[in-house]
Amino acid sequence: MKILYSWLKDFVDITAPAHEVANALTSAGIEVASVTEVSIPQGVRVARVVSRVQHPNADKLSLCKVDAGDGGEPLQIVCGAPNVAEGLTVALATVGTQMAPDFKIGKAKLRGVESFGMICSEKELGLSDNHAGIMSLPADYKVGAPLSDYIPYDAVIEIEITPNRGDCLSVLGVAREVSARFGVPLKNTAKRPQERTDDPISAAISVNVESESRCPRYLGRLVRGVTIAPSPEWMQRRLTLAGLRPINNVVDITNYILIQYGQPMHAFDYNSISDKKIHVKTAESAGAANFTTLDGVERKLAGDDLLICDGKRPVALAGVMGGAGSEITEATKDVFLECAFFEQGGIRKTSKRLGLSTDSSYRFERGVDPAQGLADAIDTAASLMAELAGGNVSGGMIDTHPKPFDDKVITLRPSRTGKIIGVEFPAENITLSLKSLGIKCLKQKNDLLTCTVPLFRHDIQEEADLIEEVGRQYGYDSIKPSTSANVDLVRQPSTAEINRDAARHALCYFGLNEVMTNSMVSESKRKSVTPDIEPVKILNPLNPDMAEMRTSMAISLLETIAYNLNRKNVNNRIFEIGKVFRPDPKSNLADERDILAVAAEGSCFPQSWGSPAVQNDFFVLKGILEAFAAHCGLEGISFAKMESAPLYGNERAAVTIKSASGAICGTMGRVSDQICKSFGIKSAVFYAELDLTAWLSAPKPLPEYAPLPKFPALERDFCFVMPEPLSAAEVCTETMSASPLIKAVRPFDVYRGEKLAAGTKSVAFSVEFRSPEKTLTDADVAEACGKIISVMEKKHGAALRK
Amino acid sequence: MEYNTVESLETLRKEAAAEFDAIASGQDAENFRVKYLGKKGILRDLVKSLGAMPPEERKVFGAAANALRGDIEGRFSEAPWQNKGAAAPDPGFDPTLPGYPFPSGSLHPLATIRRQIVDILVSMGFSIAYGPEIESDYYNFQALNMPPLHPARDMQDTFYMSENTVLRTHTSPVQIRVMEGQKPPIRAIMPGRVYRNEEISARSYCMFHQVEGLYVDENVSFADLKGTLLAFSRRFFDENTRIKIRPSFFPFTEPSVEVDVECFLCKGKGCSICKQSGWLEILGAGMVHPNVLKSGGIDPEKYSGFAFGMGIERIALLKYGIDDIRLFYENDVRFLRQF
Repeated sequence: MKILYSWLKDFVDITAPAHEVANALTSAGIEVASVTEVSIPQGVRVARVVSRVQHPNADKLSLCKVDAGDGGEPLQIVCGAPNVAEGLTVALATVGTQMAPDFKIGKAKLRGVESFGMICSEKELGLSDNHAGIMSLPADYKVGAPLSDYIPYDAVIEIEITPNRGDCLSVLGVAREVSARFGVPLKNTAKRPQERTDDPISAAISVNVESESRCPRYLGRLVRGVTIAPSPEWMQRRLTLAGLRPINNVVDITNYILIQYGQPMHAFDYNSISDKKIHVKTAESAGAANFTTLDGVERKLAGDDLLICDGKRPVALAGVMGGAGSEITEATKDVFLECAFFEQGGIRKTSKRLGLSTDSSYRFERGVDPAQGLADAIDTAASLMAELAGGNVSGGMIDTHPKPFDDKVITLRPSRTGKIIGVEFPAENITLSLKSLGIKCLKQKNDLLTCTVPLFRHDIQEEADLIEEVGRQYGYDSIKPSTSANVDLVRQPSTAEINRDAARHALCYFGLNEVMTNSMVSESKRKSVTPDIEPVKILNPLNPDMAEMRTSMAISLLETIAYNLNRKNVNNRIFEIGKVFRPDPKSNLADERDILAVAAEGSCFPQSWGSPAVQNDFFVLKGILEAFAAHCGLEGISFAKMESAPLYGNERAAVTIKSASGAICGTMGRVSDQICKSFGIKSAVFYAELDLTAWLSAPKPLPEYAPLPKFPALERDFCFVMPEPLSAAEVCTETMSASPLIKAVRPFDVYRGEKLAAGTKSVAFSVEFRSPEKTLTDADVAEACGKIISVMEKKHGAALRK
Repeated sequence: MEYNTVESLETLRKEAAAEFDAIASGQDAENFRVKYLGKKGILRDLVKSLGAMPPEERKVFGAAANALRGDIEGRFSEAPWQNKGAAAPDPGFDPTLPGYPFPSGSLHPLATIRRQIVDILVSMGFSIAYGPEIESDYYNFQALNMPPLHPARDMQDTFYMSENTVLRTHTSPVQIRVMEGQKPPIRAIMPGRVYRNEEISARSYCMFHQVEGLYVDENVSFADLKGTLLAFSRRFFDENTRIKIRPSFFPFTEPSVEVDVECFLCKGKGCSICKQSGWLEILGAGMVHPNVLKSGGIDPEKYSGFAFGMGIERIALLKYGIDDIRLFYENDVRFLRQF
């Protein structure tokens, strides 16, 4: 919201410059986004265009003679504005005027013609964003006078108001804070209209509020015989600087009141009101299903939308927007002014549902002043209409709630205030400090104040809110930081953090890049990777590419690889520990799993001058998983054939790692060509994922220490021709069981080829024998070797290759 | 030449020294060794001359020959290139060729900043708590003093999964979950991912990460909050960092404040990172609202508490001088490898 410095000064006599006021507001919790000074440069004068002809060499330029009021010959000025005309009173920046630090007006030659100054637009003078043409000044401005005589210095302070401080959405509200900060009294600027007692409003119109809870107070005034015309210069300027577009005197006055008091008002053309009756009722009660608002949009109503109706039909959507047909027009003579207090929640509901947020609904949602503020607003508006639009104010005011509202009284304990803020506050200090905010405190007993809070402070509802006001007034920067909090306490290690870091660091050490990806994915990508999994869907996605929560990390990692390949980044090896989501019928929320995902593409070791490239493949990825398990202290990682999985092609495996918290399960494999294609990836991608959910929160067991062997190992190599289906895992398990002396079995060569019978392969492996008691000899292992050969031959149909 | 006099041994010494100095390769060294020190080398051959000498002369010559052999053997074995075994200087070796490309991994910058923040707070006695990202409207809003139709809900554009289920818009719902499950004293931090239905730009993304802190006990005051945040800021940024506190508004704290931290780059003088203000908006904080304590099943008369929260992305952007938040989620490996 834009607040004018000059407008603030109507309410508080401050001498502090605008930027100082801005700093004070920020430290009071009213954040100032910017301060823009409006200062007409010295040298800009009121001038009059004496004549205007076409520039001889340019279609769009005019050649003007301008009387600058200095008694000399009219100045020749070249002007590019379309609206420059003879007789116009204008703002002329004379030669030598410093318009901006880097812009000084000098004599210029434009398309061969000399020009002795510049006729200014509103934008050039910093008065508005209007740069469509030059600024036209009122004809009664004295030619030759400095323009700053008419447009004095001002500053636009743009503030951001938090949703709790609806009371600060006005000049008055901000002025209250300024008054409290600077200790300067707040002036009452409200005007009371001269009323025509011979024309009582009660005879002219009646107002009936059906739903008092939705509209606790409704004020009405009638102003007859107005002349619709532009509002005066000073009002137009203030509205423009505040960011509103001047329309006509009546509408401008309601907008002026809106900015000054934060009170939305509505002006009806009195003569358009049927039966001279106003009913405030719900759409249901009015039997209205649709309503066309001022902007020409027909809106579908809900039963509890609040309407302002006349004797026949709805005329306004209460607190949100007026209707077409009852608005002020050029022909309006008599104006009925509405100034109401609508209940916050109801307005918000309507505004939200219709997606229609207006200056009016915005303020009603946050709460306006139901008491004196309401009366001040309508009285001042009526007075201004009499003054500026030549109207006569009818006698009296309609008020549906003439009795005062109950005081809002909240108790406050000084001891509690001290406990929360951490500074001791004597009751007297609290009383004094809250007084400047209009909060009256009465000391009941030693540690109890009763505080009467103005009704416009909707944010103050309980003791905690008053404590905040005390703290805010005291100033948070004045509070001494407690040193007790500064002490380092005992570190409580978090298992989940430690395990997560162990996993991340392992993969980083192995040369992988950690990524962090969006958990929202598109339906098509999700379907391509996990066609059978029901996803959690977002009702209001930002865009279709983020309509579902991911069901697999593969979606995110494949997208990341595609992104990098598109940027010519090759040999991508990435990982992430991220969440995947599935509906959880038990909790209404979701089943969220922490998944470690690894993806590799291109080469593991690129080709170099002295070494060939090593491509990432199934076994590189498998090696990474094995090393990962070892790094994390997890023994027993196993890989089993997997029947089918939509994500993978033929090379795939189910992965299981034993852990104290239960098995860590996962899958790995080469991503199917079809899926790669759907992500726009041409190269082979190898992907693995492990569900770490349970493992992350399980404490890491201590490593089990085994004494180092005292005696050397003996190695024997075997090579068998065996049937294809026999897996390396089976060979190893079978061999291991041949003798307790066998500590390891390592396949080191697999051969297939013409020399072998179809459906067979040759597998060579070395067997490590070791005894804890002695150095083994050939004789010690002969029996075991014989057993290996016989089992392989008899049980598995393998033949020892000689 | 026959070496049979003491004088001739001096000649031999000079010749050998010249040849030794000229050694330029492994081959040269080997040739030298064979010629002088080998089994049939010159120095071995000298003993053959002894037999033909008169006894006195033999004594003098023998001593001189032994001394010469000792000297040459010594010089040869102590030559600097002998330390690398047999490898004498090799002109074909070029140490400037590139090493074989070993893939180097990296950790994501957001994870690194998260780790730094969490480590400091853990060392200050905060334990860590987590909560679901798909959260109920109750935990995300209502329990945090934001009933339906509360205008503060506008501060956080929300993704809905159903009428009562949302993608959490902040980590604050974990506060309630922690309070429900634990009696005071509570000292916990809650790192995690949050979502906002906001257009993606260089400055904002539809999801980001927060670290939230909560301390509830008897007699916890705003001064404790200030002390904690000052201590945190000084450990995270710089030991002399100052902080500035402004009133603000969050429905779940009362009082609510924004905490500005003195710019770590210019030390408050004003620079492009802090937009010339000398201060960086880093933290939101406040005293836990009594209604929120009640939601968590904690008696607000007996206990009080403070809460604070910060955005990891914002801190990472500032700390690394990154100008586009999208870089964090695009995961261009050329970006990732810089961290």
